[in-house]
Parts: sequence; structure tokens; C-alpha cells
Amino acid sequence: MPNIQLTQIDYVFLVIYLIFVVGIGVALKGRVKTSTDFFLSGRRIPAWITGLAFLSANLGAQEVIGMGASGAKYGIATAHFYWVGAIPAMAFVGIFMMPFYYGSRARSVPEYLRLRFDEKTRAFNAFSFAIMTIFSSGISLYAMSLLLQLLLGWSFAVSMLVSAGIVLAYIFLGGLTSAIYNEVLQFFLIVFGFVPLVLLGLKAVGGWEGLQSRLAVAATMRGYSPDALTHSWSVLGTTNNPMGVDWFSLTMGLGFVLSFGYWCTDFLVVQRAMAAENMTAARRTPLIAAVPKMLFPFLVILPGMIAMALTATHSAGFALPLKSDGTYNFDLAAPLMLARFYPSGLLGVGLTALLASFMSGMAGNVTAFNTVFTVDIYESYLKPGQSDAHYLKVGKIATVFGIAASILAAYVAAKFNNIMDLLQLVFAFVNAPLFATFLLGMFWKRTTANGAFFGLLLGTVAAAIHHGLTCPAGATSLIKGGWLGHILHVYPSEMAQNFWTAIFAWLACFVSTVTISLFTKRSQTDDELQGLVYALTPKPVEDVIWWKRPLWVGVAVTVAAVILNVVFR
Amino acid sequence: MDLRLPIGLLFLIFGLLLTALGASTPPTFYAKSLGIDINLVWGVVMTVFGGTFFALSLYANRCTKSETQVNCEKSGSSVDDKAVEEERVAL
Repeated sequence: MPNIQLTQIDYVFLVIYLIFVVGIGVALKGRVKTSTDFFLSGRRIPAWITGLAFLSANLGAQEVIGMGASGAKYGIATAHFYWVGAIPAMAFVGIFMMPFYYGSRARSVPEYLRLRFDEKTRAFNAFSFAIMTIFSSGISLYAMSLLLQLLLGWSFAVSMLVSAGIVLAYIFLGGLTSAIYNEVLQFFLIVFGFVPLVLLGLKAVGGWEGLQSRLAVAATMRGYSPDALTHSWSVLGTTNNPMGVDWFSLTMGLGFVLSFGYWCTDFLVVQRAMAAENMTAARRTPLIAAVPKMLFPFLVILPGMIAMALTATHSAGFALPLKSDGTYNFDLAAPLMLARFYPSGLLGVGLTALLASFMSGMAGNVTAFNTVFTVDIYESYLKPGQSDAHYLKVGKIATVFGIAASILAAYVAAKFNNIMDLLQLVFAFVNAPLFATFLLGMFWKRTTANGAFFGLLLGTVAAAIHHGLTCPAGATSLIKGGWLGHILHVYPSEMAQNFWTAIFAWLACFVSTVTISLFTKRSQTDDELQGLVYALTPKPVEDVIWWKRPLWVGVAVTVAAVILNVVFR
Repeated sequence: MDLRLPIGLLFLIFGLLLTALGASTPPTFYAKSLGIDINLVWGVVMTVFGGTFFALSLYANRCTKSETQVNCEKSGSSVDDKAVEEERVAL
């Protein structure tokens, strides 16, 4: 089993960091006086902080480890998750959707749905989101504890309890503000923890040219054209590339449905923008986040690519280990790169950065959960009309409960190792149709509550049906698909199946929402929809110079992403 | 509390620790990092970054006394008790 030897100095870095993390919670304790303070930081946070927190909340374990793994497996095409997936969606939510999220004064995404539609739509979203977020948090916890056990030989239970305990402490004390402050700290730590790895790694492979020639060896070894791992678009003409997707399913499935579905409707990230100090700051939040997001591929994907390059050409004494079924253990790419190139000292920093990324992912889910639970489930259905102090207390209890449930979810994930695939599925089932609902809800005032609710339901069902009737090539278990008995289509890869599930779910929701809306009565008048729908909301007044306005910043960011796509085509 | 304070402080401490480590270890220690004393190099970088943020957090929130009143400059990095402005969408 691969093992990393930590020395005492490495632990010193870790301990100092953990003291800071809890210390921030303690320092902010006095500022949590109302439930708005606890759930939405009193809506007082400046844009640069909410922007970096927006990005960092999304940066969980899955990102750092997962992108490293994908970089090793798919090469630079992994950057599509950023340059085609995230950036356009972030620009869109900042420019077009934040006015409704922030202007409606909704305290959560489900609450916006109640204002725009009705209670049953809110309930559907609140319950599915609450469950998803606990599982997400639990899986994050599980993945981290597993990694620590594998790499450092730490006890699984101890790593879990200690990390959960630390996250619980700082959120309980300082609420969302504490989570946000720690997320920004974690962002900088991740950058400083991984930049040396990229620099050293590039030196070891001989720069970008050296990387290209080594990855050409890796690509041909796996049966693809030599430039398959260093080009992101030219290989997408057919599905014969490492990802198994073509350009259409990539742009529509990932670029449009899945990315917009996540960045525009997932309360985990939207919550950070809602905590901003004013409308302009709220709109700027995703745009500010988009800038470092564009550069992250170089930070998290490159180490994975370098790992593959070194393995394929047997260099630098580095090789990706093999799993029991003979395939590479891609998940270990990033951590083993750290172990290979970092001496004691920097290794402590690197490991702390890794831990920081896990914690920020978990904390993001927990703050989203405690808000949705208290505001959309408890206050709406269990005990409405209580005092603010009561809901503040409930929020804190919900935090404890959320963490406990995450630990349980982590044990479930340990028992059933397909749980991560299950979560990916649930995301596609839930997020994809939800984006259609929001699009119609925000931009078409004729969308009715019944249209929204049943459209959402039908979209989710369509996703399930598509998944039940198709499966990816080489699938061995029913959790990958085809469980409705008859297999209509076999996709070249899981990713392709995932993208098409999302496309169908979105289409089904969109079409049925429109159709049902045209046949049902509107539940609100134009007056009631002021500030909730595009046509009924005056445009925000921006008293800044034109190039600082969200629209133009968004355009600039999108253009930059297009340039990156062209450079690495 | 200005957020740049804990960020600056953490990086200052990390940076100084790394620099000290880098300066006190022999070159043979760095065979792993391709012969570069990366602890020293990166330690200095982190110290500079941390120091800058820390200094900014102190400078931007300084209070200057004039004859009649104490003027405190507010930076855009804290969630201190500023008046909560409800900026509504211009309706």
C-alpha cells in the first residue's frame, strides 16, 4: 500500500492550520445575533470574499482529487468541466439570475421557488436538496478519511470524527460567516499548496513540449491518437477519445444542462452570493469567482496529466499504482505527486491544503443544509411563526444533526462502494430538470406553479427512465443503468450516458412545464411577480463605469474562456 | 474582524517556518524536489504574501485622530458593524 512518511514538522503545519480554522469561528461568535447572521451572514459580505467563497465552496475533495484523476485519465479535455462547463454558467447566473435571487430577498433557493410558484414546488426542491447535500457531505468525509488512511495510515474513524468535529465547531460558533471566511482561507491554501507541484512537475517532464511528447506515448499505449490527451476539441469529432463523448453531448450535456443546472440552482454556491452586501456585489460574486476558476485547470488538472506522462515513460521514479482489476488507480494521482516531489516541510503544507479542500466542501454542504432545513422544512412545515431566536437555535441544532447525518452517510458509503456513482446519478436526475424550471420561471411569466411542479417531476422521471434503458459500455452492475430490463442503447462511456441523461431530463422538464403551464391557471398576478421574473423587474441601476458593470465583466470572462478553449483545442 | 488578518497571519507563520526549515536543511534533503531548495523558495514567497495581507489588514483599518474626532477608515474586507444598507433593486 502506498504510504507517505510525515515528519513532525509536517504535523506542525497541520495543527497550526486547524487552530486558525477553529479560531476564526471563535472570533466570529459575537457577530451571530440573528438567524440572518447565522444563515446569510447578515447579508454584509464584500464581493471579493463572497466571490472566492463561491468558488471555494464548490472546491471539495472531488475537485482536487477528482480533477487530478481525470487529468491523468482524460488529459487536457478535463478542462472542459471548467472552460465549457463552469465559466459560461457562472457568467449567466451573475448577470441574469442574481437580480432575482438577491432582489427577491429569498433566504434560500427553495424559498425563491415558493415565492415564484407555490409550496409543493418548494417542498420538492427542499427535500431533494436536503438529502443530496447530506449525502454529498458524507461522501466527502468518507473519501477524505479513506485517502488519509491509505496514504498516512491514519485510523478511518479518527480522521472522520476529528474533521467532522472541527467543521462542526467553526460552523456552530460562527455560522455562514465562519464558513465563508474559512473557505477563502482554504482557497489561498490550495493555491499555495499546489503551485509548487505544478512548477516542479513541469520541470520534471520538460515543460509543455515534454509533457506533450510523453503523453503521446501514453495515448498511443491506450489506443488513441497521439494528441488525444493534449487536445481538448480536435478529438471530439467522434466518440473515439478517452472521454467517450462527442462535441454535441459535451456542449449540450455538460456545457449547458449540467453546468448551468449546478451553478445556477445549487444553493451550496448561491448561498454565498446571497450573503453579499448589496445587489452589485451579489452579481459580481460569480464573476469574481470565474477568474480563478479559469486558471484552476493548470493547478489541479496538470498534476494528473504529469502523473500519467511520468508513468507512461517510466520517468522520475514515479508510477501510478494499479488497482486489483489491472486499471490505473487514477484517484491517487494528485496525492502521490505531492509525495513524490515535496520534501518534508512543504509536504506538510501540501497535505494541509488537501485537508482544507475536503473541509471546505463539507462545510459548504452543511451550511446549505442547516439553512434549507430550518427555513424551508422546519419553519414552513413543522413550527411556523416562532421567534427569530427560536429559529437561530434550531439552525444550530440542525448543524449538529447535519454533521451527525453526514457521518452516517459516510459509513453507508463505506459499505456500498457504488454510492458515489449513485450520487452522480441523483445530481443528474435532480439538477438537470431544475435548471429548466428556473429558466422558465425567471424568464417567462406565464409559467404556472402546477406547470413547474409537474414539469420538475416529469423531468426527474424522464432521467430515471433514460438511465434505466441505457448503459455504458462494459457496465457490470445495475447501478450503471439498464435496470428497466431492456437496453435500448449502449453508450461508449459513463460520462456520455450521464450527459445524455441530463439532456433528456432537461428537455422533458422544459417541454412539459411549457405545455402544462399553457393549460393551467396562473397562481400569481403580475404584481405579485414583481422582482421575481425578468419582464416584471426594472433593470438594476449600475452607477459604475461601463466596463465594471456585471454584463461586460461577464462578457470578458466568457471571451477569455473561449480563448483558452482555442489555445488548447 | 478583517479577513485579511487571519489569512495574512497564517501565511506569515507558514512562510517563516518554511523559510527557517529551508535555510537549515542540507542540499541533499532536496533530491526529491529536483535539487531545488523549494522550502526556502516557497517559504519566502508565502512570507511575502502573508506579510502583505497582514499589513493591509492593519493599515486599511487604522484610526486617525484629528482634533475633534476619531476617523476610522473602513476597508472593504470586514463585516464589522456597518449600517446594513438595504439596496433594493430600483423599483
